[in-house]
Amino acid sequence: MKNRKLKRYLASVQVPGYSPQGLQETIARAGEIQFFPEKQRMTNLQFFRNQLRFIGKEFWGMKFIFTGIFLYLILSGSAEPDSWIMTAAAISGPIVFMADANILCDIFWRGMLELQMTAKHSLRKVLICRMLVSGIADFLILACAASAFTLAKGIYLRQTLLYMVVPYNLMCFGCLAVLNRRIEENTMLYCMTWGILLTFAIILSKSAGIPLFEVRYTGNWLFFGGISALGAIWEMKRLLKFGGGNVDEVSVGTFV
Amino acid sequence: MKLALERLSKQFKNKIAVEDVSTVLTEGIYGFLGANGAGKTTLIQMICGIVEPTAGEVKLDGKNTISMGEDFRDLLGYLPQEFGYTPGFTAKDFMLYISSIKGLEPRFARKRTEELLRLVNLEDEANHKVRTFSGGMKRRLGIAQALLNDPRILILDEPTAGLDPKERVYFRNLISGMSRDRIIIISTHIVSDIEYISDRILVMKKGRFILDGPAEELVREVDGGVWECAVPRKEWPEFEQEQCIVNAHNRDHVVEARVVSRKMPREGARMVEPTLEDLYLEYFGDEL
Repeated sequence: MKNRKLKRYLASVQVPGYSPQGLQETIARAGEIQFFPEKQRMTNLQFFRNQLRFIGKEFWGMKFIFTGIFLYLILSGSAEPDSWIMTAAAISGPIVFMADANILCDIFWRGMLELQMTAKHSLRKVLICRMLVSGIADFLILACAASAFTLAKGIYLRQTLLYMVVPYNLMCFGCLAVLNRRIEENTMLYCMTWGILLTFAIILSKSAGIPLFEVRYTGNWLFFGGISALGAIWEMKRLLKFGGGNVDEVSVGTFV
Repeated sequence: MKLALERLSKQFKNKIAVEDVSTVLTEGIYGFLGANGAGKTTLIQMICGIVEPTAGEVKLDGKNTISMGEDFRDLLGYLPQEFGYTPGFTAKDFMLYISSIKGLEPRFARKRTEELLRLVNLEDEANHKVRTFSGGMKRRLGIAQALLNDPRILILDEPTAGLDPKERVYFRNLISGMSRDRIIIISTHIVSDIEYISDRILVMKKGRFILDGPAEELVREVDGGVWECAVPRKEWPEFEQEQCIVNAHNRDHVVEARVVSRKMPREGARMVEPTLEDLYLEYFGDEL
């Protein structure tokens, strides 16, 4: 049965006539693949995978340590609206984003930008790649932390997510704004300053007795969440437009 | 392969950096020579697609290079004037990172990194942090990264800054051996970097090409205008003020000088063979 099928298939195959030119072309192409790997280039997917190798161990280390500490705090602390554990949830966003800011600032290092703007894979692609990695990692961390918080303390998930995501968005907005202003080697310093300011603002509010985490303040959280999300999207678009890309990346340059 | 610069201009606010520059470059070595601030870097940044021209365009085989995007950048190797690196990178990390953004297949990237680090004599430093490197070592690393993708168009902005004389000679020989099937542009204000290896030298001043041709042809511009003479020491200050001096060497009671001058600078001066450096001083002497 199988043989009959195979015979029918073989009979249906049209074998092209012998062509010396075709043979030469096949040999030449095979030779090129074998002997000229320099002509081989990565696909976009391979490029994305390859870029992951350049996101340092510090990045993953910081995320890992943060997650561990935060889970410990959740499981050991009290979850009353006036407790410090809620404050810890709120400051987690800026802290989580600090590692992201570091990997984004790395590619804007002085003198590095020009090299990246003249390489095959545009700066925009490198940025998208890093934003995707950090965004997915942060989403997973914050979602896991919020879920653990809800499960352990019985607080609404949406409330916990709100307290975590709004400061995260504010941090993201500020850092992208700094990156867009190209302060080069001081970029990370400014991002850290912004993160510390946000963290202190939350801690000081708590110390001053402002009941930030009471339900009546949800509207304020939502307001700041909306503003910061819009701001972050706007700055991200700006960064991708002026920081890299086939056409738009040409607008940056040093003079003479 | 034909790289055409068509009426390129760049204006930064009220300062014109490059003005109406046009030329066609084919395979070979081109030296962009000019004083600091002549507009060389801006012109190079426009060719590379880093800076958008205020007017004009760059075309490769008739296609606009900005529209070509990745296809153009895949052919490009570039060493910027100020070359940076992410802190914490070793030489090998840096080379592999640049290979990645150049899209090189990872196995080939590792092989090419080893080859090039050997070529620029940095193989023993491959695992050392770039921030610990001297200026010359960083420059050599910069040259190596520009060669990673075996570029058809190689653009080097002040490539020999920080290199010692031996490294300069090595670099010149290296570049000279690569010019057969690619366009190499070297931007510099150091005449000796390009004098002997360039097929064509384009002299830039105030954002324009003022001279264009092979070194021997350009040197003819100052034929009969270069002199050597001995000037008594007490007459030297006045002489130095009046003339364009290339070299001066103090002897016992006289100063032996090489002078660029359209007429005999003083009695007893003898005419000598001009060099590209003499030509450079003829055009840029007033900017010193």
